[in-house]
Amino acid sequence: MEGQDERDTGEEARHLEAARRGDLAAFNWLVLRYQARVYNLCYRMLSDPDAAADTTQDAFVSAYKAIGRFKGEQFKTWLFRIATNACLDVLRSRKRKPTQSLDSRTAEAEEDAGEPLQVADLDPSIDPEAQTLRAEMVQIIQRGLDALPDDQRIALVLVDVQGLSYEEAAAIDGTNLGTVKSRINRARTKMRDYLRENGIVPSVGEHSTHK
Amino acid sequence: MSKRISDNQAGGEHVLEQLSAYIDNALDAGEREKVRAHIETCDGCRTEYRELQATKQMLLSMPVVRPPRAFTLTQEMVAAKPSLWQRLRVPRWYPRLATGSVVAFALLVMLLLGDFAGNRFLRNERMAAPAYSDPVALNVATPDAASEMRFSVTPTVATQADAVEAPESTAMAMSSEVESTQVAQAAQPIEPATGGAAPDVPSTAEPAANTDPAFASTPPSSVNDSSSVPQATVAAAEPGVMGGPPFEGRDSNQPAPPTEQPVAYSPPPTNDVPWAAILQVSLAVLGVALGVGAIIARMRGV
Repeated sequence: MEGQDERDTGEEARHLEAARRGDLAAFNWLVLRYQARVYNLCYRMLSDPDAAADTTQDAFVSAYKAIGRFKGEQFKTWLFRIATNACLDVLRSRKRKPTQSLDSRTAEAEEDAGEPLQVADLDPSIDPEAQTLRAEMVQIIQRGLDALPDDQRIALVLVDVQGLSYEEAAAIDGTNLGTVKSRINRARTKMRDYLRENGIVPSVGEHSTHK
Repeated sequence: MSKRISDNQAGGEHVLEQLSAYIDNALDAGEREKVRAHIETCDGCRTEYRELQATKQMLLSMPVVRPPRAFTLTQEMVAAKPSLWQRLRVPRWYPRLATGSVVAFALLVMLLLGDFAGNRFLRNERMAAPAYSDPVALNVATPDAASEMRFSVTPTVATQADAVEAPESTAMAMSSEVESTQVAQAAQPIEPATGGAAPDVPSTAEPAANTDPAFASTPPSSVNDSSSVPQATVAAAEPGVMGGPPFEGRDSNQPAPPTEQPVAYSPPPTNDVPWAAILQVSLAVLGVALGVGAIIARMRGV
């Protein structure tokens, strides 16, 4: 998901400059370039496709309005920070309205027989049963993410799901390397424990499942 | 975290906390070597290392979810208006507005209670004196008293001035419904307005006076202490007594302020501005506004 950044950074810089002068079309070029990543970030954070879509849209609107103040850092870091804060706002407001609990939402998702959205990496060579197994596993992982405290979830999603470096994660979150390291370690350990509780023992080389 | 790793098998301390950083290549050379050497000999840490590494792999291989649509912006999306709604959606609005509303209403209640207590006290005193001995005199009141009565309508205003002169005006002058009902009652019994009906009388006298264009001030001279208690003066305002527009008649007939008697019952009006009433109304409006704002903020997704 991250490889394309190193290419055409010049092109991005040009569009960025135009966007800062108020060129909406130039900004939309940036939107198209980053929307999949931002959407995935929101989806993994909020585990709900509708909330993810709303938050993604809000993040881009906020970014456009604030683009005049953007300077001195990577656009990706700045944009992800806006998206991360938007996700944290949603999580905070959810705690205030426990009517729609995470459990009910993920339960609905499960009833849809797997992740509600089209999975991009379905391998036709794998038989359907294995794919179903994999889809179930992904659901368990997502629930494990939901069970993490907000700050650990952010760190794990940025580093292990989005593939960012510790430095980038620290810049996005506004913390330092040491904080990121400890959050990642605690989050991974918790995730490993959660998987084991649900019958998945992570071991290098294979994903063994005990049902 | 599992407690399998309890004793220090290999040389050095356990490296559990550094395993993730080791996996992610976030340690410097010295630390990295230390961890590597340790997990070679320590079974517990090695197992932990493998499991954490596998967990990271599983997360990395989570499928990329395809966005359901494009998120490009349109001109109307970036117009100024939406940001207001966005700001309202920020969670912190709701608690602030709700607290503000509660505080405003609490202050209002305290003010009203203070008024009530004060009025009760005064009413007792008033009832002792012959309120309506001099109806005419009573009717003519200082302008201050009139205006005060008008605004400081507190539910507890209890004046023997039951002389509901202007029943119609009473309803308008009242800031609270209670008073209007009381006023209506007061309108009937003019004479015996000493006890029960008293509360509303003062207010009624007030409004009547105000509606009368010619009449600048109303009779309730006694109305002054914070609760605007238009005592006896109001009672006197009987149409029979005056004939024609009650207050007007009085006014012309009695230029001299008959405040002597009414004054005995209530402290003379201090000034023209009904601070207490203004404050109460302001607090009520503020409380309602903040409450509505809090409800909206809550609905906006907070």
